[in-house]
Parts: sequence; C-alpha cells; structure tokens
Amino acid sequence: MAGEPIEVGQYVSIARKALVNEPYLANAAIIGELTKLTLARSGHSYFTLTDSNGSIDCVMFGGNTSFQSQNIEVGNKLVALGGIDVYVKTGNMQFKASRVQPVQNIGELERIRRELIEKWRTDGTIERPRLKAPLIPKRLHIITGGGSAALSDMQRLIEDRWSGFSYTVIPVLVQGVTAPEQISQALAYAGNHADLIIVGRGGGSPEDLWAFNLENVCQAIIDCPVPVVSAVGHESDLLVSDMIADIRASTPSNAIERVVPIKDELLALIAQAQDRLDFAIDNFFVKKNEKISSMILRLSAAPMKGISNATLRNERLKSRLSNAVERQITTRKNRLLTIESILKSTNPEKVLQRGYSMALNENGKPVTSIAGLKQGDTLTVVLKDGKVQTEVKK
Amino acid sequence: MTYAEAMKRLEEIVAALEAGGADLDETLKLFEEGSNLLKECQKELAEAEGKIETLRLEDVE
Repeated sequence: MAGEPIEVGQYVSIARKALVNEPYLANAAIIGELTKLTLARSGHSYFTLTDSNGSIDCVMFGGNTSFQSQNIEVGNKLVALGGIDVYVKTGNMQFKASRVQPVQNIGELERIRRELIEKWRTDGTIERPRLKAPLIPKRLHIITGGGSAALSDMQRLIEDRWSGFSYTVIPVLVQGVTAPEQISQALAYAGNHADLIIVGRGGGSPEDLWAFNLENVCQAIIDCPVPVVSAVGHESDLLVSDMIADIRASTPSNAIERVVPIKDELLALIAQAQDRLDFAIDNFFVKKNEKISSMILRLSAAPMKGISNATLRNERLKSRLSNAVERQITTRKNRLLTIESILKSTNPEKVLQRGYSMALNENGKPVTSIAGLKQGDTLTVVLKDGKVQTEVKK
Repeated sequence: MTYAEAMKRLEEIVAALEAGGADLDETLKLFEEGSNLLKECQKELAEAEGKIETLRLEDVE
C-alpha cells in the first residue's frame, strides 16, 4: 500500500533520478523516424522519434548545426545517441541526445561508399605511398571486437607463431552506431603508441561490416602515422578500409600471418647467418695460413736457389776467363818461340860462326857498303872469336 | 637500424666475406660488424616478447 502522500515535484524528481541512474537508459542509441523537428532560435533542437511501437520527445542542446549540416529532415530515419531525462516541471520524459545521425538504407550507403572511393581515387589517397610493416613489430595494437571470435583466432595464431610475443588489444564495438567513433578513437590512440596496427573484425552481413566503409573510420586509418592493416570479414569482402590501409589482409587471421613472424624461422635465419659468418672468417684465415705457408716455403727455398745460380754463373765465367787467358798465353808463347827461332836463325853471330866477318864503323853500326867510307877511316872487324881494329887504306 | 635493415646488411657482409678478396683489416672489420648485427638481431627478438595487454576504451580517450 502507498504510504504518506508526497509532493508531485518530489515524486517526479525521484522518478527522474531512478531513470537517469539506470545505465541501460542513461547511455543508449535509439533509432526511429523523425516525426517532428523544431530548431529553436537558442540553437537547441527539439524533435520526436517514432516507430510503429512507440514514440519519444527528444532534445539536443545546441543541436541545430548537427541537423543542418547533415540535411536531416522530418521523415528521415535517425539514430540518436544519449540518455533518458525527465523534465520535472512538466513530468514529461524526454531523450537528451548528444548526437544524431541519419540512417541510410543500403542503397544510400552504397552510393556514399562509391562517392568516397571516387573522391579518394581523384585526390590520390588510394594511390598514395604506403607505410611498410616492421619485420618484427614490438608494439602491435589490435583493434577489434572484444571477446570476438576474430580476436581469439588472432590470439591463438600469434601464440602458435611466436609464443610470448607481446601486443596490445583495444576492444571496440565493430558494428552499430557507436562503432565508427570507437574504432576511430582507438586508431587515434594506437597511432601514438603502436608501431603497427591491425584493425578489423570477422565476417558478417554487409551492414555489419559497414563501419569499415565509412569516411571517419577510413580517414582515421589514412591519418595514422604508423602502418595499419585492414582485416575485415572474409576473403571476398572488399571494404573501403581495405583500399586505403597500408596493408590489406583478407581476414583477421591473415593479418597475423602477414605481420607476426614465426619466431623459429627468425632464429634459424640468425643461426644461419652466424654459421656463414663464422665459416667465412675461418675460411679467410685458413686461406691466409695456406698463403703464408707457401710463402714461407718459397722464401726458404729462394736464397739457396740464388746462391747456386750465382755460383754456377761464377764458375762458368771463371772457366771462360781462364780458358781465354790460357789461350792468350799459349798464343803469345808460341809467337815468342817463333820470333826466337827467327831471331836465332838471323843472328849475325851465327853467320860469323860459319866463318864470315862483319865490319862496324866508328859508331858501332855495320858497314854494308863502301859508300861513305874514305881513306884513313877506322873500322872494327868482328870475327868469330874477337874484334880487330883496321884502317881503310884504299 | 630496423631488424629488416640489419638482416639485409648482415647478408651483404656474409656475401662479401664469402666472396673473399678483402684484406685482413677489412675482413676483420666486416666480421666485427656482422657479429654486432647478429647481437642486435637477437636483441630485437627479445624485445618483441613481453606481455599481452588489453586496454579499455575509456583509457584510450
């Protein structure tokens, strides 16, 4: 039973408190058709969202620009983010919106997607140079649905490839009205902390994946100062994020395969490099040793070879010299002998020996003619056994 | 120097040493550089290991 009556205002206040403290009501996104819209002069927007089962009055303080910039008109389907409130003065319940966003049907979404691709194709964003993933990411950040199958697949695969590999997960909503903002926010954070980012989710309907076709999510990827891997859905899904990210992975698992190395393979490569380095240096010294050994051998052999050569040459020279000298001596000896015999045979004394005599003038020269001689000249006549003085008589 | 650059340089050094032809001084210099790169690479591997962290969205604002 009801107790003592309380004042209306107090009652409504209590009701308000109960409602605004209900988390599920306090922080919600509601979707419905915009059936009434007043853009007040104050800048606040008053509107009503309705669907076949219900309706609620909404207020968005300073919301006019938001409605105007998005061209939102009565009749549009709308998502409003915000929470419940009660205006105590009237007891009216209202939804206090912090954001409104028109909901497009898939045809409309597709048109926007195509326009976005066209825009980025024209301005060169799609063809821009891409960042390269580090071979070993040391601060990998994974942005995906918390507790999702995609995340556990990725985590299992990382563990398989490199047990103990460190990385950071930023869980976000990957679908629904707040997904784009969460993903963008996570990307902005990771851009300042990661050296590589994987952003993505597992497979789903085109609408489920649509966040990755949206301009703000894709712009956050483009603006990211570190390489971003887009890993959305299945292999056949091509999202705008795939087209503008630095690396496109066909699935979340594929993203891991592409950026997390297999530790054992790296260790094997390092070990191989080490072996080759050691072998090469060993080989260098083995060769150097061989060269030194052979040089020592040649060096030790060289002097003897030199000496023997010189000796041989000397010997040869010596023999040639002595031969020449001997020959000369012999020749001269022979010549002397000949001269001697000639001299012997022509020696006047020999003639004297045979009984002849020889006359010499006063100067001791042989007199061979009467010319120049006169009466009274003294001649010395040399005979075999002595000399006599004679005088020319006539 | 990134891991990839270090491995690339290491490959160059190993190839150069295997080809031979450098003098003793140059060979020792290359060997020393290669050994240092190997150490760097091993260090890089160790640095990639650590903890798995899960952030909350509130923490990343």
